[in-house]
Amino acid sequence: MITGNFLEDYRPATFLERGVAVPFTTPLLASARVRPSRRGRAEFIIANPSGAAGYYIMAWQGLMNLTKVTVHDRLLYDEIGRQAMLTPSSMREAARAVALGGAAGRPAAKAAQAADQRDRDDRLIVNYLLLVALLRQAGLKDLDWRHFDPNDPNLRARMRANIERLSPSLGVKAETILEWIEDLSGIVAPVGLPGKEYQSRQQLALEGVQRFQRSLLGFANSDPSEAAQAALFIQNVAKLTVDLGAIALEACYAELKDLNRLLGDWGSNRGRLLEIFGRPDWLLDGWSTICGVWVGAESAGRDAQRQAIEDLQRLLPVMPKEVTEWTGVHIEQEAAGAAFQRRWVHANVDWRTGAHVIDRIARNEAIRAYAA
Amino acid sequence: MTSNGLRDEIERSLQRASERQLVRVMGFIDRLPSRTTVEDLVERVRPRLALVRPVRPMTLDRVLTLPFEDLLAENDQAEGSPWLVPRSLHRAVLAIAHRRIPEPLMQDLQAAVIGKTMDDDEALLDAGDTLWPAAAAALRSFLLHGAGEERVEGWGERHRNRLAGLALVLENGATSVPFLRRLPGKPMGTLNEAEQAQAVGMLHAMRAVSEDLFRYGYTMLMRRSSDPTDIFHLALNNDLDILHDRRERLLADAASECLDEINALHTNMAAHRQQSLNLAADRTSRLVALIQSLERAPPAVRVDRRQLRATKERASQTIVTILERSLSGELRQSMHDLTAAAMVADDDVMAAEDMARSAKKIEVAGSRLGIGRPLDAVLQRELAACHALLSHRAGQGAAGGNTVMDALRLVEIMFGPDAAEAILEQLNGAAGRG
Repeated sequence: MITGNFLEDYRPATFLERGVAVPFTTPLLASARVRPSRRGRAEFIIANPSGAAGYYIMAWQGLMNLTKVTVHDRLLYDEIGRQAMLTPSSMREAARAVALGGAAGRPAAKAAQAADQRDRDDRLIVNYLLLVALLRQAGLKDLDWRHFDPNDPNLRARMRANIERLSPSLGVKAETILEWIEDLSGIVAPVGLPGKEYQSRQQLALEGVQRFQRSLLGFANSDPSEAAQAALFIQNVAKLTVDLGAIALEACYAELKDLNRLLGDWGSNRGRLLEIFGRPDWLLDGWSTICGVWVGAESAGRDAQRQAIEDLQRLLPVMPKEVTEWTGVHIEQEAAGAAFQRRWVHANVDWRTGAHVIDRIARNEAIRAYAA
Repeated sequence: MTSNGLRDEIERSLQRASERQLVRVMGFIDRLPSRTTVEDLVERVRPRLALVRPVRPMTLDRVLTLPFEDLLAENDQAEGSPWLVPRSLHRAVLAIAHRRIPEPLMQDLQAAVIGKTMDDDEALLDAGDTLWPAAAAALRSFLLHGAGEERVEGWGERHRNRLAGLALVLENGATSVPFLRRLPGKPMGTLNEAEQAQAVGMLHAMRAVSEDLFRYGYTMLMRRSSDPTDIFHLALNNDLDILHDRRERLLADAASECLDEINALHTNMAAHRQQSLNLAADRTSRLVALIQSLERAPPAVRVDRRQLRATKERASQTIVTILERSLSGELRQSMHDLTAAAMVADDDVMAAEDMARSAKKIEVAGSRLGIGRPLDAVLQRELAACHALLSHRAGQGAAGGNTVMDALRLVEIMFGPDAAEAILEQLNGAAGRG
């Protein structure tokens, strides 16, 4: 079936309107996104369950009526309700909290634990790197981040002594500067810094999408079936995401060029930074799951890859109009790819792919371990 | 490690392997200098391999087998159809090809496939273009000059016609294989429009060569499909240049071959009730899919419905027995182990989950056959036992943290999320009160 272009631009205006990808493990809900509704409650957007084009928007109860929802997803829904805001980052937090309890299996629990630890380490590293950058920008050139030991109990005291020298120019006490930098590192750590000193979550995610795009292009060029055309479309969307992601990362790095100026008006800059540094996360939201699906299929032969392509079409996020405002790049409404779908099947079988529902849940849980 | 030790290790791994692990173990086996000593172990997991389909390194034997891979059958089953290739004959075909294809050509081909995988269509078809006609010529020359004198394992005079047929299939490998590669692998579900076009295209191309080759092509599709009625419809709804009475005969024979496969699957399941749950689940799923498909066969296909009903009845009983045994045996033991020990290894948890998934698949397949009620009774009994065990352990404070969740996951896989959530709420309530 070839789906043509809509006459009107159907794309969501903002990323929030597009919704945050929810890492559900129930097969029918694997493509779900959530956003706040007008009444302030969460509403879910899922790809048309029949496998045809289009989306359904419904409340949680609607999802529960639609399919047998896994215990993991029920717990995740409760956890989402406890989050103050709906963002990719708060979703990650909620998903990790549930995974840590073991509801998605042990590999996912361990991956969540490791990811939590990594985030804490990243924040420490970035804290130090920002301090070093701040001091360098102020004229201290002899600091080497490679000698940094996060376990050094005297680190903070030594840094404080250096920071005190900046105190007069920023007009606040050294302790306040350290607090601001700590606050800033929480914002910067997921995105990272320019250069190759350490790889942040978003930089790694972007590389992951790039690898995925190349691999898919390889598949599209060598597979003789109709899945090749769908793969070509998906890799185009991936390429666009990589390009826009790179622009968004550069915009973040530009903010860090003059830390003195940034901290000089920290009170008013903080909100703007939160918004700018949150953009790569929104742009890449949902792509870790997409890459996870493909990574799982890569070693499993052509049939598994063709099936994965079918799934990927449903997971592919639509680029909201807001992206033009963020990146300065005008995006034409994407022409829908040639939908590549298969067969009808029996009960307890995923009717879009023919795979057993119980295997699909296991696969989605394995993706939780990959994309923690 | 000694070769015996290695063999034992591989046997253990293959027996317990989940799908993902199976891919890894097969990757390891593929890298062994020789897999002769473990070939029989691989044979036992072949039905599962067909489902998992790991990426396999390209070898000449695999390329050579490709045009008739779908025709391979267990020896007993192949007896019932002249279009099938018994596994014992497969060995003979490989031996004859290796012996009679000129050495320099084999060396060239060998060099061309090294480092390639079976997913590399271009390399595969390139190698096949040379190898298949050469193998066909080798088989023909063997039939003409060597069949009476040469000792070849697996060869017997009774296979003369089959071998001649295989020469025909190999000779036309370049016609059939590109189509086969575009179709889903076994088990091939109901075909979509584009896939139907590929299947019909293949049948047309084979029919243009000869009616015999067409018959082989039709058998390939029947063997690959888990919905043979879909393949019946291909013959009924398309002009395949076959006379009406020939087409009737073709459909009747195909239905009979399908019934043979169903019977063989059931006999195997009933005879090997102690087989691994993974294997039992895969066999049950295929058995049920074939029975259901044959039940839906159009009237133009003369299916022996009495025999089908009898087989279905026997299969239903076997499924209930297998499920009962697995739930009250292996799974109950796993649940017991998980809740009894404070520390359970990840591998053991994953093996238990895999077992539960297999049991669930058997139950789902059984429900499709219309035996939901007896299966439900088995499930209810076991759920009550699990519930009691978990409550008891929680009361004792024996199991904590993750092990409770591990056990609950088994409950969820086997009995559904509602059952697991109810137990979870009860346990949380008890913990809160405590």
